[in-house]
Amino acid sequence: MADDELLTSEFIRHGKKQGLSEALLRDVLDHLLKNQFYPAGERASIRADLQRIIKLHLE
Amino acid sequence: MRLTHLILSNIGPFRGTHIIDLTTPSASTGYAFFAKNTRGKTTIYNAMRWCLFGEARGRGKIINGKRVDGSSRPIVGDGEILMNDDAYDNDDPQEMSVMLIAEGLSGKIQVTRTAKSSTKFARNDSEMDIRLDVIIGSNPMTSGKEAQKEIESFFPRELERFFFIDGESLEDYTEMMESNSIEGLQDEVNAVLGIPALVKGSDDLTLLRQTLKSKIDKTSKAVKQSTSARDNALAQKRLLQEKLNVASEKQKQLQTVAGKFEETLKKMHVHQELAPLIEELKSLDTQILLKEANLLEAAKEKVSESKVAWKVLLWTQASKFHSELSAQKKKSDDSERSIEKTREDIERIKKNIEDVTGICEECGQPLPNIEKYKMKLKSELSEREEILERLEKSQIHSPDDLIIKLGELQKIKPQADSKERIIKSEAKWKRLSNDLESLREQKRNLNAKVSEEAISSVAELGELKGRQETMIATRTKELQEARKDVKVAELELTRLERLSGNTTQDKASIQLNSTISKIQVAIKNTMSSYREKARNEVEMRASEVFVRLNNMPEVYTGISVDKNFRTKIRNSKGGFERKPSSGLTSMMTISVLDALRQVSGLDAPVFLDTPGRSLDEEHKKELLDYFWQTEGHQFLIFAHSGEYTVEQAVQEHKGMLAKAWTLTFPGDHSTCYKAACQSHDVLYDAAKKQYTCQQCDLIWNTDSKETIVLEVEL
Repeated sequence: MADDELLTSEFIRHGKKQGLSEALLRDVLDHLLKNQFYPAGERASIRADLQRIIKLHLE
Repeated sequence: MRLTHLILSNIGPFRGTHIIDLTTPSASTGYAFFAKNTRGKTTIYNAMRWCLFGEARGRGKIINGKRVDGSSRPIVGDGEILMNDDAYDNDDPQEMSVMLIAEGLSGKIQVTRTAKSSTKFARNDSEMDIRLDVIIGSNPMTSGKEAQKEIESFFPRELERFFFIDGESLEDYTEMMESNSIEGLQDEVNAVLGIPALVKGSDDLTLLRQTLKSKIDKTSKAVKQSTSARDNALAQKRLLQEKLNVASEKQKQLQTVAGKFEETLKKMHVHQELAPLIEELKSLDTQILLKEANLLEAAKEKVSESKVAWKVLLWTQASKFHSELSAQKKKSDDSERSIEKTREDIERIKKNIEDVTGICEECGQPLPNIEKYKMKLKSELSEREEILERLEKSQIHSPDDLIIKLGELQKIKPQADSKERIIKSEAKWKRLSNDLESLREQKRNLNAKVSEEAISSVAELGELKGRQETMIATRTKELQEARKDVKVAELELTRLERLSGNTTQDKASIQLNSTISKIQVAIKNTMSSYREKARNEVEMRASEVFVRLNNMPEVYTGISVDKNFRTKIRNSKGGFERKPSSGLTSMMTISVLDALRQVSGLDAPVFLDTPGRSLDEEHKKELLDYFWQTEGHQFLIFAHSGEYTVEQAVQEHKGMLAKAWTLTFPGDHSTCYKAACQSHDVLYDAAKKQYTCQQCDLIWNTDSKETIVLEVEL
């Protein structure tokens, strides 16, 4: 998906400026894109997974 | 993803079960449903939306530049319903279902949505049980909400508009795209660009940070309390040490006093045999002191009682004289009373003699023997005078003299018990005196046995022992107090140590919070820069599609998409087309929609209802030329017979058209419509309004409104 690549490259570019690793940024964005259409009220498990992904990269 | 089967049951004009097989040996993308109005084109289109999203809406409207969706169509009830009318009126239970089967990267995808009445006759949707089941690849079947999530993972509802395109609403899309309002297709565009991932992701991260912040604050507070408690515990430890030192000092002092006390007791033990004697001496001294005091009192009493001893002695003699005088006094008193009485008698008799007149006072008559009576009175008078004389002569002492003498004697008369008391006090004094002497004698005897020095030494030791006992009591009390202080300090220390605990800063949460914060900054910055780049991408792709779709690509060179995703047709002169034809505008709209569909990157078929409504012949052809390819995403059109004819479509797009169907009512056929027969040898019964095929005996009623799906032979 050409556009996802553009979004990913932009996100990684800005994330790296914050000192974050590319792997973390990719995993976070993949997770967010995969779940982007879930409404706010149904995102509890998505948030929990998001936190787990970030924690994994901090270990 | 390629749709392979669509199975409709009792929905719209489709009575019973209709299996539409979309599989073909080729990879061509063209699919078409041809039908007149009311034959079920839009029903198929809506059936798929209902199957995927659980609702089918009527056409929407544009209000103030923003699209407002039409109302959701009910499954059962009054008015235009989704369920087949005949099934609704006659079936028990009333049931409707749609099944979609597709092949995707994850394998076979099967989505089934069923609506079944929960009552004998369901009057509205609340009396219908809706069930959704999804099977993806080899995964177990999911149902309900989970199943809906599965569907939306490959077919997001937010992007529905780029896959289910309603040709009749193209003008609405166009209006939104040209609108000055920033609303328009904003939500959809954002969704296509993945903006929800960033927006919702940022919201997710904010919520995560709130939870983390709360946790960190709580931990920080606990750490602060713990640190404070630790400081207090240290101070308390010092205080406890001081208390322990005091207690220890008191203990030493007590031990010293106790040691001295022991020594005193030992010394006293040496004089142990003297102790009873000394004790006895002490006792004697006490008794002597007591006796001396008693003796003094007795002496005083004796002196006091002795003061009347002379009276006692005199009275032994004077008492006789006193008795005599008393007798005389009595006698004198009696004589006095007789003289007085006699004198009174004499006076009375004299008066009687004088008062005698000889006349009765009552009757006034002279009394008899008056002289005799007078003589008798004179005799009595003489007798009384003699008695008086004799009585007066018998008076030796006058009563007054006797009274004076008796008074004088009375002065020396002791009290009745004076003598006894004198004797008693004397006896008491003597007894006490003897007792005292006896005690003194005992003391003298003891003094002979115990030396003065020993007595003094023992006395000193005794006194010392007493002082030491007092000191021990004082020191013991002080030690108890000190130990109590120690205990209190220890308890406080335990409490403070428990409070101080092992709380440490939650470094993991702090690090996580910091990382999340950085991701949020990255999202914010990405949203600022990405939108512009994405706009360029959409503009480029839309222009590519538009150049292929429009019939004058050398004049209409592309599409301009501004920062709010409003669109205009660009011409070869470098400007914008001011008054494009409706066909050109529709092409622009379709180009932008398809560009957005491409940009979304989602792998799904495209459904276009009434595709050629506002297109001229040339554009209609070019539309199909563009979308119907030898490979790629399936492109299904639901065409009215006025838009495209079956023959024309098949002829012009042979090789690109994978499959096509016609949707008809039985009444549309005057020859046998059975694919294997298609005989013209039919009989029509006007009374029954029905045809009968003479070849295959197929009977069909011309009044029937049940759709027949017939695959077109290509």
